[in-house]
Amino acid sequence: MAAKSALLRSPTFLPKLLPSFPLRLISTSPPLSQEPQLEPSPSPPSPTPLPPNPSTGSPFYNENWRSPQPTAAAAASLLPVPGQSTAAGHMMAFSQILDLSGIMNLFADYVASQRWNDIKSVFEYWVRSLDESGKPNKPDVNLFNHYLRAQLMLGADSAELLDLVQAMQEFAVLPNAASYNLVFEAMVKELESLNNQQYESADSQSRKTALVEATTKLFDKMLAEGPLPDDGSFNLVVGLLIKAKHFDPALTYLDLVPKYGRTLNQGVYNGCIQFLLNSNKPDTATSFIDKCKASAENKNLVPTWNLCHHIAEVAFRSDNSKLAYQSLEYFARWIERGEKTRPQVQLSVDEGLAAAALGTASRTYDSKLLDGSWQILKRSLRQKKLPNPETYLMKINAYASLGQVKKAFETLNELEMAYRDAENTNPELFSPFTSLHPLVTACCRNGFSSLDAVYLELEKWSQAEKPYKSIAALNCVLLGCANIWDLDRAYETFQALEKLGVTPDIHSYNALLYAFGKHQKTSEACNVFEHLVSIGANPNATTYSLLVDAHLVNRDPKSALKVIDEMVEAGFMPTKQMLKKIRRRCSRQMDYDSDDKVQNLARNFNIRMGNEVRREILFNLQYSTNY
Amino acid sequence: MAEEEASATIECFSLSCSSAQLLTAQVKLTLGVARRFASPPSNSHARRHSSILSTTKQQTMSKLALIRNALSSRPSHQLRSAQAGSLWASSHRFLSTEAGTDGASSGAPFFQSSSDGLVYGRITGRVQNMLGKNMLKTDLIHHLEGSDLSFHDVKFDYNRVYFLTGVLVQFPSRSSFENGHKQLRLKGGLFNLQKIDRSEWDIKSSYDGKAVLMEGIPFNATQDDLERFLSGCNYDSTSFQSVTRTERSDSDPIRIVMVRFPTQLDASHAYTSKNRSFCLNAPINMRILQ
Repeated sequence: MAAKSALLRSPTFLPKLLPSFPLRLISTSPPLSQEPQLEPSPSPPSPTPLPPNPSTGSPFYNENWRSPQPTAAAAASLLPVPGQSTAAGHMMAFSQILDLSGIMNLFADYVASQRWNDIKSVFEYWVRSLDESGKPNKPDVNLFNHYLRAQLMLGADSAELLDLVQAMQEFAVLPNAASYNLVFEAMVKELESLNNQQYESADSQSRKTALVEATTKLFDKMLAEGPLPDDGSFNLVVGLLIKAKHFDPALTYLDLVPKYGRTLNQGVYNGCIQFLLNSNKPDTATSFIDKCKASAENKNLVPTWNLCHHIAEVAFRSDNSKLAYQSLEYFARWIERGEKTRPQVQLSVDEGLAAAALGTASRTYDSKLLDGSWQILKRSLRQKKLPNPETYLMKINAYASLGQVKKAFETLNELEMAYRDAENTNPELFSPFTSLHPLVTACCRNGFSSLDAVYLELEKWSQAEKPYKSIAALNCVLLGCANIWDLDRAYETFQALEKLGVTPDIHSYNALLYAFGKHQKTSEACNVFEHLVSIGANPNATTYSLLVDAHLVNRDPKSALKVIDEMVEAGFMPTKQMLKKIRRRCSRQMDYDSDDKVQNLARNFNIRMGNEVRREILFNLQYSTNY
Repeated sequence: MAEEEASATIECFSLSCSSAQLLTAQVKLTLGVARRFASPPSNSHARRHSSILSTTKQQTMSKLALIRNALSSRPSHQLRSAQAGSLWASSHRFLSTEAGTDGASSGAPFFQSSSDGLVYGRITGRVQNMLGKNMLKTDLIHHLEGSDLSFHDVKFDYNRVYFLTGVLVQFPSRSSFENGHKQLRLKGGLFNLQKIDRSEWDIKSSYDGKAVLMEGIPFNATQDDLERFLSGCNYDSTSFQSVTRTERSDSDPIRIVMVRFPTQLDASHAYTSKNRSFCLNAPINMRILQ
């Protein structure tokens, strides 16, 4: 009677979590023998039952607990009967006289010295023995957790531990998060051993999925009704899911982390970011990092240095400016940390990485990323070295694409101050045709109005206290005018160069030549060329190519070929584009002699000309009246 | 003649001096004698020298061990010198200078660097053997500041699929090599530096920032398509080299093409203007090879 009522009172918990393993039912009563009963014809009214057994707290109340010695009949209890080894006998006897706090201290000692077997046997003995008031000893949740820990260390697997946790119910002890953590630890251990197996068999795969399901179900149960998971639970479960590569449940649990105000530990944080990056989800990684930063507990977590590099790499590849900015923030934190430790560690970010960040900023039009990357570059260089000229150019490119022309010109100023007079500087560094081309495009973005605005600004700067007189900047304006087919403005700007106190260089002449050539003012273009030769400026490859273009605009392939001959004499090589253009003009005008000359040139310089099939498609369209 | 002088002085020393003095004098002498014979000594000299030492060997064996310990005390960062093993084995050769001399040991003075030749080193990443993918030559020079390196003293070592495996560095002197060690430790210990032979340096050629790697080119792209991708850039059209690489074991292979440029500025201009633009519907990632 008492047995049955005790059983009814305890919550029936039958999770069936691990179906592939035999369930051990929690039954404290020995199987009843079925006695044949008479037909239930009008049975006499059953007498009102007695009140239930008032004693709670130990399943041993159901047995003969008044005699402290364990009997064979008590073997039905889940807790195994402690062995009767004489070596442990004195320990048992000692433990018999201890009360709860005494046992806790004893177990603390045992844990420190890792005597798991002792913990196990003493615990089992102790719950069977009577305390000083003559009732069976009732453990509390911490004691039980020690016991579970001992079992875990002795190699019990997760199923056994789970059953033990359920056994806690009989003692009217509620398992807390720590108990379930021990179960999770067992699961993690098992998964690791499965992962470390050399060959993946179908068996281990199914075992893994079973483990993952069990973990998720248990965790869900904890969230729903049981004890709230603590930091350890979250870390263990998320870590397990990541190791088993089941990412979706991991993501849902990660979302819950800030909700419950839990802290992730460093390893799990790294692991999460790693798998988010590897599984090609940069946006999820961004939102995860944001959430962690927002929560007070997690905001100091920083991934490892190499992982920061990996984040940056993924961000640049996928043009994700937010993720790039977050990686730069991490780098900044690392640098700060390095400078605070003693001895000081001077971490630094590669300039190449900052340059890539600048590139991403220009493509994604993100000025925050631009500023951030320049700042971290400056921080890393620590004023011992100037940034490379190429990095300055990338910054100019970024500002130009964002439309912030003034800042772009300021950067040009910095670049000039740093590198104009340095030795072995490439003269093409300040060429508006190649390096500063983004700046040119930005100047003429709104047509002549923006060009005028820039010109006036430059004029103002050149008359300021610290005059900024830059031929490179004015060349950009000049070329901008040429780009928008505005010959008058271009010429006026050229003449204003002298007024502003700068001497035109080869790039200025090139720009002017370009402007004339585009308008088919070929004689003026040739005049410019002769003028610059007579002054003594050396024409460069751009000059010749612009001159060839000018002649071709004038539909004069013969003169173009003459220019090429001059060019070859001066030591330059004709480019493929040039020869192709001349060839096209020749074929349009059916000038076969010049065409032969072009072919000779191509052969001499080993230039593979290719065919014009794609261009010819337009001319070979078949028009018909059928639909 | 010189050897006889040497042996005479050694015997005279062995008679009178205290043990410490004896040892220092003996080693100094060996060093001086060794220096006089600049080229590797012939066999007879070698035998003579070793015999000089062997006579007094028993007496000074323990003291030799003392000096050996002082010499071979390794600094906390890893210096694996190829010559460490032969330090005392062939005592008739030069005594190499070990890095343990920054301590104030009594043997410091005569172990000052006597080698004024170039020293070659190789830098590898410490964790996962990874060096920064975006590292430039100037970054490394800045990292090893104080070692007086120039642009041409650094060569990046890429493997067949253009993955950066290490950096070869030519240090102008032994002291700059050791300074390099110090700097690496100061800057967070992210890299290892080990000494290599000159032959490795000479074999390797450097791209010098004039080559660009294009990753992710579609497999059906022809040379024309690549040239169209790079239009507006001044590249060397005979220099295309194509390679296939698989990133991780479970991802698809990607095609990588390397192209060279006449100058560094051209390469960086191509990188700035063409990175992440499209070739046959696929965005191309670019990297400058140092």
